[in-house]
Amino acid sequence: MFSKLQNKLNKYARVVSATWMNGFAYPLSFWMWRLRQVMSIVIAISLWQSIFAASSNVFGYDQAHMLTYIFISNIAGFIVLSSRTIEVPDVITSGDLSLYLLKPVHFFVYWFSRDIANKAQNAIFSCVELFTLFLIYRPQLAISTHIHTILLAFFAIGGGVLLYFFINMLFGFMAFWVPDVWAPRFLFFIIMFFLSGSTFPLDIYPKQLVDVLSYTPFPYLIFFPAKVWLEQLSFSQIVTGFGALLGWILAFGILTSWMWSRAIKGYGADGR
Amino acid sequence: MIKWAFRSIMNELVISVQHLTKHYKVYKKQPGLGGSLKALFSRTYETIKAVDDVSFDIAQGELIGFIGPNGAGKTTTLKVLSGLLYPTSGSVSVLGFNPWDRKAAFQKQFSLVMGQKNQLWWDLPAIESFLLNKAIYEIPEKQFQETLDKLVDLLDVRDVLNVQVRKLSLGQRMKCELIAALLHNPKVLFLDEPTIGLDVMMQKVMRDFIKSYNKEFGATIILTSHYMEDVKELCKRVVIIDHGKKLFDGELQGIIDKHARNRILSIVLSEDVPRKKLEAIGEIKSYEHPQATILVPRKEASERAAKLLQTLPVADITIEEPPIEAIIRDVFQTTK
Repeated sequence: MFSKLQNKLNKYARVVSATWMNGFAYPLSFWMWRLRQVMSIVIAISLWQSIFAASSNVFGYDQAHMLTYIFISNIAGFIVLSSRTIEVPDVITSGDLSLYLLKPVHFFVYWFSRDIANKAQNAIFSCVELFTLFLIYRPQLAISTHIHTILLAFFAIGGGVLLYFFINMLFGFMAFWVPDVWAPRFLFFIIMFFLSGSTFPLDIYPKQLVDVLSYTPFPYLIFFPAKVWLEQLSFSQIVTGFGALLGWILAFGILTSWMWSRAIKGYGADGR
Repeated sequence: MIKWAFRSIMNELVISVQHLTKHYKVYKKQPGLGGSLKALFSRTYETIKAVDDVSFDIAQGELIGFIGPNGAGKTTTLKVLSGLLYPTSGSVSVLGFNPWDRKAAFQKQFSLVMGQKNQLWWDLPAIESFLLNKAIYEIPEKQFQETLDKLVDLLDVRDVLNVQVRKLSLGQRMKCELIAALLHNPKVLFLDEPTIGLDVMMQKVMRDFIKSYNKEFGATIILTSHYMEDVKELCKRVVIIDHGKKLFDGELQGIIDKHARNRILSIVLSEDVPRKKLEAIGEIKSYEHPQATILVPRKEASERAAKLLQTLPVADITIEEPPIEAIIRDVFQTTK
């Protein structure tokens, strides 16, 4: 029993390590990717510092809380939004899916392992980059170090990771029916950019819009985990938030499983 | 047929395909921009019979050649046997499993090698893909090392194991692909065009390897190839398929006996002789002194060769079967 579990863990641990090695295969591309991540934070910090130079309170946030949000949302974003699952449509349309179906691997777990590898890589390098930026900018941060808050934030980010994985899989599986999923995915990413809280806190929008957004999956990717970590939510908001997050994970999980089981029956293994 | 049935009873049946049918729905686009616009609202589909009522059995240790032109249904059949495609109707059993169930116990006992695509990670050295397969197939360390050593030596790729796959030549890559597919010692091997794109030397290396793998591991192998040399050298039995239908199933020699109506006399003349004298022996395919090739009816080949030797100044003579490609072409034409 134990050795069976160990074999299974070994299987996916090897997928994780291969993904890591693959990530380092092109050094220039890797360092450009890191530069892009650093630049996105530098731009966000500089922008908000300029805004706060003119006013001490913007949209109900003071500079310390806003910069803390930027740091926290970037950490959450680096973990939640970094993914290799975006390659799934190509795997399907090229016929490479056959290679996975021939082997004793679970397609979902295989790609989740690849995602985890990518996230871990991103998170480790981000920590170094964020620490360096912290030393440069020396912003006033109000990050909570309460163990229960960090634990809750950890679960919220974990939930976001799962939710984003299933959303990506859903777009990926569309390739079974529509060969080009680039357009709907691009549209989704644009919407997500504004509505997930990755660039600014969503509560700077009017309250009615924030209320409407809470019925969509977007805020649970970054905004909710960041607010949990910032201890800016009441107990009931935390409970409701986790309930909604779980609901969305289940909904997308069930939907992608259903799509997979339907699609795989009609799979034509094209391109081979 | 009786011979095959007898063999099936005598040996363990590994693959059984009964009345296999696989139909596809294919979108037919009308030409031009108008067709593209129309397709936004309504599409016309056509049903393609990729495999149509095909049956065959394969016993343990057999090495079968699957022959047919492009689009004949060979690869589709292999995909169904591997559990990639769900059959429209009919039953398939491989090693006692329904391939479509895609059980891990089944997947650990077979391998499908496709010559046109690879499973190796492009940006990593081949050894990393081998280690990944070791973990995926849960191969014990000792077995992995022994198999890897044996395969690496047989295919002579030890010096490229740590080189990025994208830097390998096609031949080296194909050898590494084979190793990746064989590390778990599959009992059943489906080889889809394993020698495609390789030069003649490398084709020979691959053929020798497949032959020795079949012998050493007692593996059951189905091979599809456009190179008849592969089939001639490796397969005693062939299944010919065209437009999804099985046209022939039996020994390769059986096709030659049935469909090769002529034999070829290749001669070297010691003196120039008039063309007419050669025409008296058979149909001249080519004549450029001192060499000539003459087609003669198969049954009279020995008789005509004897006549040739008696009447003409022959320095050398060989009696050959027509090229297997020509015979197979004849099978397709006569069964249309």
